[in-house]
Amino acid sequence: MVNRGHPPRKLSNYLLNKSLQLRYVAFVTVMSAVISGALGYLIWRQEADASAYVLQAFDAFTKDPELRGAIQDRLQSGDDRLILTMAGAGLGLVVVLFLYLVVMTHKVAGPLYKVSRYFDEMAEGKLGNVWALRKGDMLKDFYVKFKQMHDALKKRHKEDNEALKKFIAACEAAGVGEGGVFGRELGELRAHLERREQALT
Amino acid sequence: MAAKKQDKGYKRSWKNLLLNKRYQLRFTLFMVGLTTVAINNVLGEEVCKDPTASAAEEPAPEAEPAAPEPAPAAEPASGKPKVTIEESEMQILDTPAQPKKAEAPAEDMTALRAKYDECKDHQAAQIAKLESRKRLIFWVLIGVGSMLVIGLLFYGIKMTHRVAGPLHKVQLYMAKLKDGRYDTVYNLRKGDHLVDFYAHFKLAHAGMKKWQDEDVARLKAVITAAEEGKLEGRSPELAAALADLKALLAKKEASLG
Repeated sequence: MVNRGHPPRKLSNYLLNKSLQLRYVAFVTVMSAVISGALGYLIWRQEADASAYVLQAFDAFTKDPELRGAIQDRLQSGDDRLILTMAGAGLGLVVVLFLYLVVMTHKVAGPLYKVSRYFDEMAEGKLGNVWALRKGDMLKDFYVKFKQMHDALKKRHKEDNEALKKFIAACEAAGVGEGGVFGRELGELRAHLERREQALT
Repeated sequence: MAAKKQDKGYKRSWKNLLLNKRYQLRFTLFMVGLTTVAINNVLGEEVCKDPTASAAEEPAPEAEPAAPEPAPAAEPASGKPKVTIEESEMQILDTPAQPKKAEAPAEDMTALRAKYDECKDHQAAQIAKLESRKRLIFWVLIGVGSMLVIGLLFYGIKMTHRVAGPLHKVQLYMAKLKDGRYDTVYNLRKGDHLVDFYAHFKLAHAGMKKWQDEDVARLKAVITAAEEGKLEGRSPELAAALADLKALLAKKEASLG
């Protein structure tokens, strides 16, 4: 059910169903960002308080500006490194979640978009060809069932057309259907059959 | 009344939350796993890290106290605990006993000793406070992390269920269409997603049903005209074709319910 000859998906088309996709993406990424930000702040606050206390304890015991400066620099660099690590991890989490959700929802929205277009054709009474999904798309089981239904409808449509054709051919062979009430109805049936044939193209 | 009931839809049951396990679990478990790893590995590591380990990797400058040290005189030389300040990666070690340059007066020594004890108490209180807050943060981290994981798990399953639900419903109708049954299509449940998609399906279903309605009307008209014109006796082929047409009409009428 995967079409290997299909061109790869484009970046600009990743948001096919904005309301569906952004609902998940926005909620999960914002929630993760807020929670990891709040936890990160707590940890940083603890670290900063511990650093301040180290300097306070140092001041209580000694008065060496040079050593104090060295210790302060080291504590500051530790705190800065902590902020960078946590900001990087938080940002990484948000970015990875965002990309994952956009890609995953796209893999759902893509097949739904495709099936919607086939549904639009069916709404107009058309039963054309159904092509395969792209590689990596989700909802393959659903798509298989859709295709089975479409194929069954199309097959039945063709069988019905054959029955109508057979009847019209039998009428023509028997020399009936030229004028009169039946002739008019047969003419309507021919036009109806023609429309049915066009629906398969 | 029936239309109102139809619009309202029926309530979802929590037992049916996993309708499309592969899609729903794949979607949800990745989010949960990633968040767990991020919280455990990054935030948890920052909370639980051993300051002495990093201090060993990157040695701190040696603390040589410049001010007069009351400690060596006041504390016994052996068995004294090291004062380690957590989180800062710095250790204030007890310095070895310095040779006394001059004997301080007894009052000064008492004052120094009192000040030293006060400092020690303050230091111990501060360390205890920091330790206690660290433990609190650790438990907050575990609590929030667990809640986040559980929340994401439920949110993921619930939200994907709102997609899987309509898909499941459409699949049931598609199975009926495949078998040639054009039943009435009912509305989605309240809160379901894919409302637009479902609207497309309803139009498609209506489009296919319209063919059946038109076929039935056309076949009825032709069969009635053929019977009125007594065409069955014209030829055996025509009689057989007409019988086929009647069978087709009966099938189509049955499919419309």
